[in-house]
Amino acid sequence: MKIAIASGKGGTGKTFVATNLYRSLQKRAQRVTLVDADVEVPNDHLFFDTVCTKRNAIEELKPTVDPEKCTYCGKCAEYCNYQAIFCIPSKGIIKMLHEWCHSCGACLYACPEEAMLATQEEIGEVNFNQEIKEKHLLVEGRMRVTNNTAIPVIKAAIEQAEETASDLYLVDAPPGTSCPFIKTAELSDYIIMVSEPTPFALNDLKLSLDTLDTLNKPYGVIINKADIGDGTMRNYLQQRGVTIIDELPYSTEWAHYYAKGLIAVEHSKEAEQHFERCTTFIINRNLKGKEA
Amino acid sequence: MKIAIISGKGGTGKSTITSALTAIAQDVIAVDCDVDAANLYLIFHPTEETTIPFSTSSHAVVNAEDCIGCSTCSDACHFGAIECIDGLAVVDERACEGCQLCTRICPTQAIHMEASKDSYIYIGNFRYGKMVRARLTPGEENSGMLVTQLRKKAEETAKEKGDSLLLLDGPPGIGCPVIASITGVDKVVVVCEPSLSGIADMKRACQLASSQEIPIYLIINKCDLDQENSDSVRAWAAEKQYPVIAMLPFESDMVAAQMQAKTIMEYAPQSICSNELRKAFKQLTLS
Repeated sequence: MKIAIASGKGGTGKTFVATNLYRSLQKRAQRVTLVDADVEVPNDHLFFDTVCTKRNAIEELKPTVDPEKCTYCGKCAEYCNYQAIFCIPSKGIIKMLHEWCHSCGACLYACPEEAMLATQEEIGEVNFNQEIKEKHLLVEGRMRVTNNTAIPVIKAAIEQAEETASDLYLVDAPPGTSCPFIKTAELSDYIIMVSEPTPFALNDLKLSLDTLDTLNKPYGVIINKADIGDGTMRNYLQQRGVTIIDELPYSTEWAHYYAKGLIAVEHSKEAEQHFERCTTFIINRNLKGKEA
Repeated sequence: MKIAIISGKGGTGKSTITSALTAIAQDVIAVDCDVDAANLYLIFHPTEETTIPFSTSSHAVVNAEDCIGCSTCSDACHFGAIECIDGLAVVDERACEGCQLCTRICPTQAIHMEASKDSYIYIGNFRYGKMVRARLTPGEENSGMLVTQLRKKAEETAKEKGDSLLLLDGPPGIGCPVIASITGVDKVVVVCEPSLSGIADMKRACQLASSQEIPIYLIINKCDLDQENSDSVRAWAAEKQYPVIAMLPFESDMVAAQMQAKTIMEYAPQSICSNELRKAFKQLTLS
């Protein structure tokens, strides 16, 4: 069972919910793995004492040119749909712009001289981080800075996490509503959207729910900092028939724990109670019969 | 001049700060590059908008009559988007990245490309100039391509208007829409929140901007959230020689402005944050 923790707008508390829920679920499920799929800026590891037990490099096809064989005919640039090859035939110039390359391999087919080489480049990594005092694991996808597409790293992190043979995978998703979010949602069984009752976040939440509807994925919402709002978000969700899993209070105390890289449920009784409620929801909905 | 505002981590205050800088500048082209979750229009209510449909991607479509089931396309597809089932190539639209390789190598020309559903770019007027924004159709991908188109439109608008200042509100993260937002800008403002995650993400955003040799300026938002972390950001910035142009404390006015979808400059012009942002703007536009 894979449960993604997502949000349209960034900074509404995805990582806060994911890390606390992970701790809370550990008491109820036999084995939980936290998967950090926010591979552009992965942060879950900052909250736990872990040792890295394995690192898998993620490589993608990033073709290079053999200058001995290249005749600068420009056929590869014509085939490339991403403007990732810069070629001026008359001047004998060719340059591969790897930051725009989507690894489709079209240029390899285009080249009549076999001058295009199928070289691989590291675009990110998947790290297996074992918690020092617990049996549970964090699996982290980490995209290399300057790489353009997060998708292969997200996919690798979520798929490789299955090696940990857990009862439950909590997936910390990337923000937004486009490809990285869609890929994470596609690979998950249930999505928990974390939002906050501001006009910005409500706007983005609507877009995220529309996207999830196009994917036919089941979801529920946690309203974070619920007490700064006036009930507009709650009303909207009720009208739309969306499950509200919990409403978390606005707490400066929890914000301070978060800033220091501490897990709120380990320090605040109120946080513990809230996340126990979320845990019960998840177990009842998704994990019946798998309780520890 | 083109200035992009990014942060790595989401929710650190990018749009809030972009809207404040817009209100200070008065005459700008505001560009909302966070196309999957665009918010600036909620503050600025642009009017008389021109709508430009734009398809961000295309996908392969197989003509069953011409397909001989040879699997040339499915073997070549790097995205695993084509499968030959019972002698017929079947495309998984969502996995298809629109590279067109299959259309080029199909021995019977049985595959063609079709544009995906349209997304929209809007150009309108608002109280401080022109606003250029977009809406990615839910379920559509390739936001980087949309940002690139959006910026083209913004730069055309700038040329027509003879205006010099473009403020670009960037998306979170450091992937393709962020790269598309900052490529070719004059300055990047990185907004940092002094939490451990905020700092880690700010550093990745700075690493991306410096790989393109763009001058970096830092704003520390909610600087009093954690004094120790705030100090460590300043020490790191000093070492990297990135100017810290504003230190914004947590103010209830800032939250109240957000709830009412107003800029802090309009809601509380004399607040500490407003004063800090005025100074920041001066420093940003000086050189």
